[in-house]
Amino acid sequence: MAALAVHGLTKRFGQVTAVDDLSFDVQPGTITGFLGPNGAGKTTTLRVLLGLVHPTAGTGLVEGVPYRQLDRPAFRVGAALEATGFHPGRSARNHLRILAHPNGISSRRVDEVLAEVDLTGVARRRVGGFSLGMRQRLLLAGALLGDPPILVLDEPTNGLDPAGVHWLRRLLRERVDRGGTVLVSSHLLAELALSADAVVIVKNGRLLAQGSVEEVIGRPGSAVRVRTPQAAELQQRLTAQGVVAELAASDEVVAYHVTTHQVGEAVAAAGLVVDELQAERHNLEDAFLALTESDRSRS
Amino acid sequence: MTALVRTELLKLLWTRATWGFLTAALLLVVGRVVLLLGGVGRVGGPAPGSADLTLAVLGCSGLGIFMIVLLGVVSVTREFHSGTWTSTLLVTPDRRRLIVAKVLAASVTGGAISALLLAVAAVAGLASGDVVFNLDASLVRFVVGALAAGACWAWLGVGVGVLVRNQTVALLLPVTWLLIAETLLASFGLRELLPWTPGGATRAVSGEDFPGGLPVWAALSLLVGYATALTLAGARRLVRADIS
Amino acid sequence: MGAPMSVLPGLVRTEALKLSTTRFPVALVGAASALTVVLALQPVLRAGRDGNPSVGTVGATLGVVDAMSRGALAALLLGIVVVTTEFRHQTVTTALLSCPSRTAFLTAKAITVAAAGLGLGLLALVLVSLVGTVSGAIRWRLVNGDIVLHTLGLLLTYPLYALLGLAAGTLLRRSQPLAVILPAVWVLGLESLAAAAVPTTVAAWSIGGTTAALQNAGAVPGVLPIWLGAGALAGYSLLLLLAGLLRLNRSDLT
Repeated sequence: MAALAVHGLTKRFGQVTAVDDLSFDVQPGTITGFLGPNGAGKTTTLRVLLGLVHPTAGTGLVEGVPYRQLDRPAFRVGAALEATGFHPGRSARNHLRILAHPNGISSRRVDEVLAEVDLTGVARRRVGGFSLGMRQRLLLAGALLGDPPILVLDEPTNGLDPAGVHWLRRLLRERVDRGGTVLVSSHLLAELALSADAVVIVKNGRLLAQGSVEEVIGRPGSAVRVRTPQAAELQQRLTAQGVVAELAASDEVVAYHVTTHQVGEAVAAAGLVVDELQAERHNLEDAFLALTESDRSRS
Repeated sequence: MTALVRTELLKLLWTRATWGFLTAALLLVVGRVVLLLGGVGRVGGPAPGSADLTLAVLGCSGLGIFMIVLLGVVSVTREFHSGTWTSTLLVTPDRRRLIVAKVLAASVTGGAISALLLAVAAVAGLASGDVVFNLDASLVRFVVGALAAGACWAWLGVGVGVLVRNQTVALLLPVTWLLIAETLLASFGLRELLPWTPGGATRAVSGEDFPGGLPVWAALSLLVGYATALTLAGARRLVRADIS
Repeated sequence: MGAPMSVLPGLVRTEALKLSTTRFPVALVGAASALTVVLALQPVLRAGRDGNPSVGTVGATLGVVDAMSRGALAALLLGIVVVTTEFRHQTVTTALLSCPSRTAFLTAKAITVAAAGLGLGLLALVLVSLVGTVSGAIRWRLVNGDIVLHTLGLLLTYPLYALLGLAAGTLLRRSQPLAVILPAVWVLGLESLAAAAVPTTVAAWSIGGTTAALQNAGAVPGVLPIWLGAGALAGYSLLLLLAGLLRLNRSDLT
C-alpha cells in the first residue's frame, strides 16, 4: 500500500483551480521530491493530504485513510509546513510540549528531539527572538516528536545553513533506510537530485511527470564536454567514429553516449590540446525546466 | 514631509479598519441622534427649536471620538501587528519624521471624520424639523471645538499606539479609559480632577459648561499636551528600539 | 465521534498548558484583580456620605460585592484572545495536525475558558470579600439567601462571558482588532444604546439584559428570572460557538 496517495484530486478556490485532477503515489521506503513552479498547487496538495484543506473532488490518503481518520496521527505522519507559526512569546520547549501533550508524548522526548535538531541551548528562549533557521529546525523538531514513519516536508531547507542542509539530508536518508517515507516539496533541485529516489512534478495543478529520478531525467547522463582550441577537428574525428558529437561553441565539443575514456583516447590519438574534459550529467534542473517550459509553450 | 503625510493618508484610506471605524462611528452617532430626536417634545425631553437641542444633536457626534481614537491607535499598531514596520522604516529611516507624519495624517483624518459626523447629525436634525440652526458664536465655537477634538483624539490614539506597541492592549487602553476609568474618578469623589482628564477637556473644548470646566483654549492646550506627552514618550522608545 | 472525545482530557490539559506559557493571561488576571479591588473600595470610601449606605449595612455589602461585575469583561477578553491568537500566529495549523478533530479542539477550548473564567470569578469573589471584611463594609450576619443568590449570579457571569468571548473570537478570527474591540465595546456600551431603541421586553433578552437577570435574581422589574437569564446567556454562547465550529469544520486552513 502506498504511504501517501492522491487520487483525482481537484481543489478550486473560487475561480482559481489550484489542483486539477492530480493523482500520484508515494511508496514507502522512498524519499520523493514534490516539484513544481510557484503556484503549481504543491502546498495545497500537501495541505489536503494533511486534512487542513477540503478537496473539491478526489482524495488525499495517508496509509489508505484520510488524515482526519487517523488514530493519533502524530505517530504516523510528521509534517513541517511553510508559514506555520509560533507564538512569539512562548519558549521553544513549551511550544513542543504543547504539541506533544495531546498525544501523551513525554517531556523527555521533547528534550530528545530538541537535541536532535540542535536547539537544546535555546530551548527555553522565546521563539520571537529566533532566526529563520532556528524556526525551521523547531518546525522539524515538531514533525519528529512522534518518531513517525512518514514525513511530509514543505521547503524544509528554508533558512538552513549548508551544514544544516547536509544534516537534514543525512537525517532523511537514515529514516528512509530504516523503512520510513519522506515526501519533500522543494525548489532546491540540486539538493533533491542528491537525495530523492523518486520525483513528482506538477504545474498549474496538473501532473507533468512521475517516476524515479533517472526516469524523469530521461537521457542517461553520459555526455562529455571538451574545451579545446581544435574543437572542429575533434568534432569531425568523433563523428567519423560514429559518435554523436556537436560543436557547442568555437572551442567546445559535446559528445553524447560516450565515456570520458573514449573521448580521451580520441583526443590522444589526434594529439589535440585539451583545456578541459568533463563528464556532463544531465541533471534534474535541466529536466525540470524542460518539462515545465514545454508545458508553458503547449498551454 | 508632504509626501510622507500623503503616504500615511493613503495607508489609512486603504486600510479596511479605517472604513470599519467610520461605519461604526456613523452608526453610533445616527443611533444616538435618532434616540434623542425621538424624545423631543415629550415630558422631560428637549424642546423643539431650542439652542439646547441644536447643541445636543450636534453633540451626538462626540460618540465618534471612540472610533477616532481607535483609528489613531490602529494606524500605528497595524504596522507592528502585520510586520510592515520593517519595510516602512526602510523607506523612511527617520523615525521622528515618520511619527510626525502619522500624527498629521491621523489628525487630519480625525478632523475629517468629526466634520462628517457633525454634518450627518445636522442633516438628521434638520430632517426631523425640530432642530434649528442659528449661526451664532456658540454654534461656531462648538463646531470648531468638535473638529479640534476629533483631530486631537486621533493624535492621542497615535500616541498610545506608539507607546504601547501591542495592538490588543493598545486598543483596549483608550476604551477602558473612556468607559471605565473616567467614570470611576467621578464616583471616587475625585470630581475636581474631571475637567483635567482628556474626556473632561474634550467637553470643555466643545464649549460645554460644567463646574470646574476650563476655558476652551486651556482645554484644547491640555488635550494637545496629553497627546504630545504620549507621543514623545513613545517616540523616545521607538527611535531607540531595534526592529528585528 | 467516540475517538475524538476520548482525547478531550489531554486536549484540555494542553489548553491549560497554552495559557500558562504566555504572559497575556497573567496580565489579564492582574488587571482584572486591580479593577475589582478599585471598584470594591468605591462604596467603602463613599460610605456614610451623600446618602450612600454606611459600612456594615446591606447596601454597603451589596455595593462591595457588585464590584465583581465589571471583572467579567476580563473573562470575555480571555475567551476571545484564546482563539484569536491561534489564528493570528498560525499555531492552529500545528495544533490541528497534532489532533485533527476540530470539534474536540474547540470543545477543549470551551471547557478551558469556562474553567478559567470561573477561576477569575472566584478570585474576584475572594478579593471583594477581603476588601469588604477588612473595611467592615460587609456585615456577614446580614448575608441572606438573596445576597447569596445575587453573588452566585455575579460569579456565574464570569464563565458565561468567557464562553461568549470564545464564541465571538471563533467567528471573528480573521481580524484580531475587530475580535477584541467589538465584543468589548458591545458589552460596554453599544448594546445599551441599541437596547434603548427597542421595547424593554426585547431588551431584556440582550446580553446586558440577561446579565442583569443573572445578577439581580429577578429583583428588578422588566428583568428575566435568574435561571432564564443564565440559560439565555449560555444559549447565546452555545449558538455562536456552534456557528463558529461549523465554520471551522468547513474552512480550509491555507
